[in-house]
Parts: sequence; C-alpha cells; structure tokens
Amino acid sequence: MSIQVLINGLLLGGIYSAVGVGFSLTWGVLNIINIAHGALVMLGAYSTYFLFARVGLDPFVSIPITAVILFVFGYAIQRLLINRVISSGVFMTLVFTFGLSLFIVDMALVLFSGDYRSVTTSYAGAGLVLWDAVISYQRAGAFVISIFAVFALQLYLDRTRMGRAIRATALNRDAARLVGVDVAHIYAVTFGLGAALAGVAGALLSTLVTVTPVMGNVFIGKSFVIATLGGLGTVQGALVGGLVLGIVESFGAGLLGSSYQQIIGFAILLVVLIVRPQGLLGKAFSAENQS
Amino acid sequence: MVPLSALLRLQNVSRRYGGLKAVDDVSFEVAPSEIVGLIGPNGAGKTTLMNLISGVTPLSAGEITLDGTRIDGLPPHRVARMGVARTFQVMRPFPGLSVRENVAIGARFGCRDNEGGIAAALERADAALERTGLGPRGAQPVSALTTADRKKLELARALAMEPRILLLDEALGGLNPREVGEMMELVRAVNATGIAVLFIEHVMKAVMGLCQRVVVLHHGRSIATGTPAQIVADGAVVKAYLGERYKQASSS
Amino acid sequence: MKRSAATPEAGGVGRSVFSALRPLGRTHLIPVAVMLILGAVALVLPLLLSGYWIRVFTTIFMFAALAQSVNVIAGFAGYADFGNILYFGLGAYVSGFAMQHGLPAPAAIALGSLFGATVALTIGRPILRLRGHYFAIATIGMLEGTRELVTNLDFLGGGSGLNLPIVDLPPREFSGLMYYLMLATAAAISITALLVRRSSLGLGLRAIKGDEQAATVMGINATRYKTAAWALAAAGSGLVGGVYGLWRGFIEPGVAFDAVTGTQYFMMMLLGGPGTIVGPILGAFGLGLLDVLVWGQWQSGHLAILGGLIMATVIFLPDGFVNVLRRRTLPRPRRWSR
Repeated sequence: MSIQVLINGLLLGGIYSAVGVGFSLTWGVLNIINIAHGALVMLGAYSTYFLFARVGLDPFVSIPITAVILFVFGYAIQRLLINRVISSGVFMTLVFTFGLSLFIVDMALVLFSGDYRSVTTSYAGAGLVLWDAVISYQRAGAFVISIFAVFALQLYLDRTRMGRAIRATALNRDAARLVGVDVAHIYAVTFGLGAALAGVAGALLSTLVTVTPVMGNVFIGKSFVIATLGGLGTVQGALVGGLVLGIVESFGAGLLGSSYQQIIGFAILLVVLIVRPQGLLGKAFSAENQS
Repeated sequence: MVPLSALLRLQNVSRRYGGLKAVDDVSFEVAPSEIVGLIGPNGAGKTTLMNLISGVTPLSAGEITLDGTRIDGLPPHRVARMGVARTFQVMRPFPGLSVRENVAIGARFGCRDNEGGIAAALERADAALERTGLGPRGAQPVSALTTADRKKLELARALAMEPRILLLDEALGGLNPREVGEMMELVRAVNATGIAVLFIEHVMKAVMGLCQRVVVLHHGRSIATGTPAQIVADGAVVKAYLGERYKQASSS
Repeated sequence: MKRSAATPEAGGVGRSVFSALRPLGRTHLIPVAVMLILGAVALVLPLLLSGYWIRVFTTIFMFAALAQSVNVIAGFAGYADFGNILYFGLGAYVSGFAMQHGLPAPAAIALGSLFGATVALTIGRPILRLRGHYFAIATIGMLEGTRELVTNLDFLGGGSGLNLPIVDLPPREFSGLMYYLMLATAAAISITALLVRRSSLGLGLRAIKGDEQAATVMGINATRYKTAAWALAAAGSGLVGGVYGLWRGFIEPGVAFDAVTGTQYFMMMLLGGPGTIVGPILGAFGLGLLDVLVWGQWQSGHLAILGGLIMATVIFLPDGFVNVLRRRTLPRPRRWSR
C-alpha cells in the first residue's frame, strides 16, 4: 500500500517540480513573485487541448510547440508589462502579477468558456505493475518528461552563455550590468523559460486532470511551497521541493483524507517560512538580498 | 577591575558568520566625553561593530557594557533608550515624514525619560534642529535636502534622543572640505556638552583633528589603539592601511 | 467599538492621544471634514433611496470598514496583510456560532472581533518577523489553510455553511437597520484609525514603515507596535464579519474566507491611498460604485477588468489617489518599498 502511495507521490512530485521551477527561477533571478504562474500552467494545458482537439496532435508530441508558445508569451509579458513595475519592489510586483493572473484567468473564461475539457488519448488508462503498485503509462510518461525538462533547464543554465548570464544576474545584478549584460533581455528570457516549463507542466497535466480556466489557481500556493522548501532560484531546489511536496501530499491524503491535502501544503509553507526561510537547500544569496 | 572612567566597554567581542569572522576578539573602551575614532580598510568590520553595539546584530562571543550594565543581547530599542544613538552610513531618513517629524521620532522614542508625549518630543526635536543648523528646514520633506543637510539630519535625529554616547557611521562621507569642517565643529560642540562619540571615518583630517584616541580594525581584529599620533607611527597600521591615506590627507 | 486591550501600548495610545492635541505636521482637518460630510450625507440617504440602493451602500460601507481595518497594518505599518479577510471570516464564524447558541447579537459580534484580535496577537510574534512579501504570502497561506479547515469542521456547518438566527424585523426596517449598523461600523473603525494616526503609535508605525531597522535603533519597539497594529486591524475586520453574519443570516467558508474579496478591499485601500484615512473610504466608494454602475452591465469579465485595474494602478498610481493629491507639494514620489 505505501509503495503505491510513495510512487504516486513521486509521480506527482515530478510534475510539481516542473511547475515550481519556473516560479522559483523567476523569484530567484528577477525577485518577482509571479502570482500569474498558475495561469501559465493553465494556458499550457489549453494549448495542448486545442492542438489535440483541432489539429489532432498527440499531447506528448505537441509539448515542444506549447513550450515555445508559452516562452514567447512569457517573454512578452515580462518585457512589455512586468518590466515597468519591477523597480517598484517585490510587493508591488506581487500585486501586479495578481492582477495579471485575474486578467488571464478571466479572459480564458470569456474566450474558452468554463466547460470542462479533457485530453484523452487512446492509450490512456493502461499501465504497468511494479511490485505492488500500478503505474499508468500516462503518469509515468508525465513524470519522465517533467524530470527531463527540469534537467534540460539545469543543463541550459550550466552550459550555455545565456544560462551563465542568467545566473550571474541573479547573484549580482549591478555587476552583471557593468560587464555588458542586457539585464532586461536576461530577465525576459528567464521569465520566458519559467513560462515554458509551466507550459510543459500544463501540457502534461491536461492528460491527467480536466482542463478548466481555474485549474491553475491551486498551483500558486503549491509553487510557493515548492520554491520556499527548496530554496529560491535553483533548479535542484525546485526538484527537491516538488518531490517532497508530492510525497508529503500523497502520504497526507492517505493518512488524513484528501480534504486535508491542501492544508498540509499551507502548513509546510508556514513552518518553512518561519523556521528556515532560505529553504532546505537554499543559500542566503539570491536576488532577494539585493535591494 | 572595571576602570570607573569607561562609559562603553567592549570585551572580547566577536561576530561569526559560519566560518567567517567579521569581528574577531575586539576589546576597547570609550570614556564619557571622549571622542574615539574607529578606522580600518573597507570590510574590516567597522559597521558590523556598530551593529553589535547598537543591538542590531547579536554577538557570537564577548560582552558589551554601558556604564557597567551589559547591553549585548538587548533588543535595539532598549539599547537606544539606555543612551546609545547611532547614525547610518547610507543615510536612512524616514520617507514620507518631514525633517521635523524625522527628528521627533528620536525625541519621542529614544530618550531615557519619555515625559510629555508628542508635544515634548517636538520641542526636543526643534532644539536638536537648531543645534545642527537645520531649524529653517523643519517643515520640508526629507527628499528636498542636500547631502550635507541629510548628514546633519542623521545627527539631529541622534541628538534628539539625548544620548550618552553617539555612534557615527561615516558622517562625513560625500561632503566637500567646507562641509567636513562644519560637521567637525558640530561633533566637537556635541562632545563638549558631555556626549561621548565613537565614530567610523575615512576622512583622515577628521580622525586626526577630532579624536583623542583611535582604534584600528583590520580583518575584524583590532590591530592597534592609541592617540592619533601613535597610530600614525605604528608600523602595523601603516602597513595595513594608513600609509597611502595619510599621505593624501596630509597633503590636502 | 471593541479594542484589543492587551498591550501596554494601547494604553499609551489613550494617554498620548490626549497629549497630542497638537498633531504633527499637517493637521488632520481634511480627513475629519471629509468624514463629517460623507457621514452627514450617508445619514439621510435611506430616506431617498430604494431598497436596492440601500443594500448597495450597505455593501460599500462594509468594504470601507474592511479597507480601513487593513489600512492600519498595511497602510500605516507597511505590512501587506493580503490575507486580512481571515479575521473577517473568523469574526463572522465566532459571532455566528455564539448567536446560534443564544448569545445576544451585540455580545456575539464583540466576541468575534475580540477573537480576531487575539489570533493576531498570538501569531503576530512569529509571523511579523517575516519580511514584506514573505509576510504577504504567509497571510494568504493562513487564510487558505483556515478556509480548508473550516470547510472540514462539521460543527461549523462545513462546506454547506452556517445558518444564523434571523432578526425579527420587517424587510424594510431590517434593511435600514443594517445600513446604519454598517455605517456606524465603518465610522467607528475610521475614527479609530484617525486616533491611531495622530498618536505615538501612529508615528511609530510610520517610522517602521519607512525603515524598520532605523526605527528600532531610535527606540521604537517595533515588535510591540506591529503586533498592536495587526491586532487592531484584526479587531476591525472581525467586527465587520460579525455584522455581516447578522446581516446575511448565513455564512459559508467560500465567502467568509474568500481571497478574491480580500484582494478587492486591499486594492481599495491601495488605490485610495494607503496610510491615509480618507483613502480607503474613497477607494471603497470608487471601486464599489464602479462595480455596480459599470461592470454590473456586463455579464462576465468582471475579474478581468479588476485585474486590469490592479495592473494600471500599480503602473500609474502606486501610492494611491489621495497620496497623489498630497504629492503636489512634495518633489519626489515615495515608493512602497516593502
């Protein structure tokens, strides 16, 4: 029984990591708490749905397309909108992204209607049996792709020039500017990457849950927990945070009943904020500590 | 035995951040009405020391006493009310409040006796503004002040607390020679009323001209203490820091 | 109105209020005048209005009261209590539960307010240590967590809600009574906010908002002041919650702890002018009337418009409307730095 719970938790955690890594990166590098992050996940799900329903693309195949769409969208939002308020401080950008989230979600409701959509492939429902646990192919596939996407992001940050520029900007924005880094562009790329990963997570989620305009809202809270658990701005942190949250939620649902699942997340959040605000892995240095 | 003359006394004060020792086993005293300078290269731990004395940062080891009473471990507002006033290196006036209101805060909350509420605080604020020459600017917003006036505001705010010792953190930074002279006069005048002064400074003219004693910090350690003349002649100090600076200061 | 009496500073507020007959800086004549005029108009309005409009204004007064409450912690002290509606919900539930068990309405409502204040006093110590946006997140976390918790508590009605005893009055009279009760609540909270602002507590909070570390080295016990401010804000919101329960006769977790409503009145304060007395009131009237007159015409897209308004406010009016008016006399705009 607990193997099943653990595996469910891990599989869930993989997707959570993909959701949370963009949020954490944006917070760590740009010092922006992006409340609209959940809405980005939702948009990724809708992108997959429409590509599936109108064009006939398999949801796993259309992931790169969704990722690109969300990247462009995220880049544009950062460059054109959020950049205007980024100098007003973390709190004001939080308020701003809250307004943005309201706007995106409600527009989705207006444009796409609130009807429940789902992405059901022919192979949905089949699974494999491992020890005592049943793992659906879809969940397993979602897990693998999530982890892959997260690792791909880490590689990008480690190996490419842009990636290093992003990390440099996170550590010391003014120094980065002095050596010629186009900070506005870096910020927009970072935000875009975060959005792309949120889109990937949304794409995967569309195969597992119903697609509605408000499906992303629950991920705002979870993203906080993931980011603060793992420490801001690091991919490893989001990975750890996501997996831990997934496992804890899974066991919590098993022990206390699913209605208490949300509360567990918030309780973790509060405890972490009070006891160890830099997270399990985090260091004290990030964009947070630059005024 | 504690010499009766010490007002502020630091004994083996240390502050560690993980493996890094920001302040390492520093001991010195400030007598009432003394002006003591605290100098050293950037990163030597001077501002950290100020933070330790004013209670903003907790000690890792050691003791700090004010007139025989331990003040380390007390929250900053208690340390302030016991008579320790400090200014900040990067000027931090309260935005949204006028000059007079800024000073009144010190007067209202930082004095040892808080009789009379806001009205009395305003009177003390006006007095402090007069002393620093900011009287006519009382009603102005802080954003309207020049750098020199902001430094004076920091000083006025601290004075309004009627402290026994004033901790000045680079009160002369960014001032031209005439303004430096003005501030030096102010500090001297303040000291003459019986307030001890401990100040961090890079402007050597002020250190040489104002201080009765100087403490030199380097890498968190106190490498020399003595009169300005003794410090200048100390080989370790010259080697660590003073050489180039003193040549500059004495030729200006 | 019920005031949290736990801290010595609350007594200091009382003492310093009397000694602060000459207020600092600008006089507080303008807020007092505005409140008197609005109050006078509000008193006679029911004679002229239909039942529908009486209810509309009752709702606006409610929002004004809530916006003013959160103003004390967010506008004065600079701590963004995004999840302040938690206390509204707590007040509604505690008061409703008490009324269900026989306690007369005034006592029940006071109890709800007191409960809110007690919660804030208890969690104030750890939570207020968090920096600006962490604090905001924590308050939202508490709000959401409490909502989930209450949804699972059967003795409070769970997800289906709590029915309150119905007040035995004909509709028109009941409506009028609720109008004046909500007006009185908004007035009481606004007057309290004004008194706080004029007092040493208010001065200390403004210093804390400006620069908390500088405030502490100047002798301000920031922990005590912040906690007092939060307790006052919680008492205010709790009071409104209790009155709301009485008005509607029914409360449910999804409404009592609704983050969107909480954000709405937070925005009213932000738009109107945090840290001022008139600001939250104007914000409530402005957004409230807009909501009814303009957006009521459209079926959907309300939240999109609110979202757009929020974004526009942050870009163009970050300090709120009233502070923009004030800023005519000051050369440089102030930033909300937390």
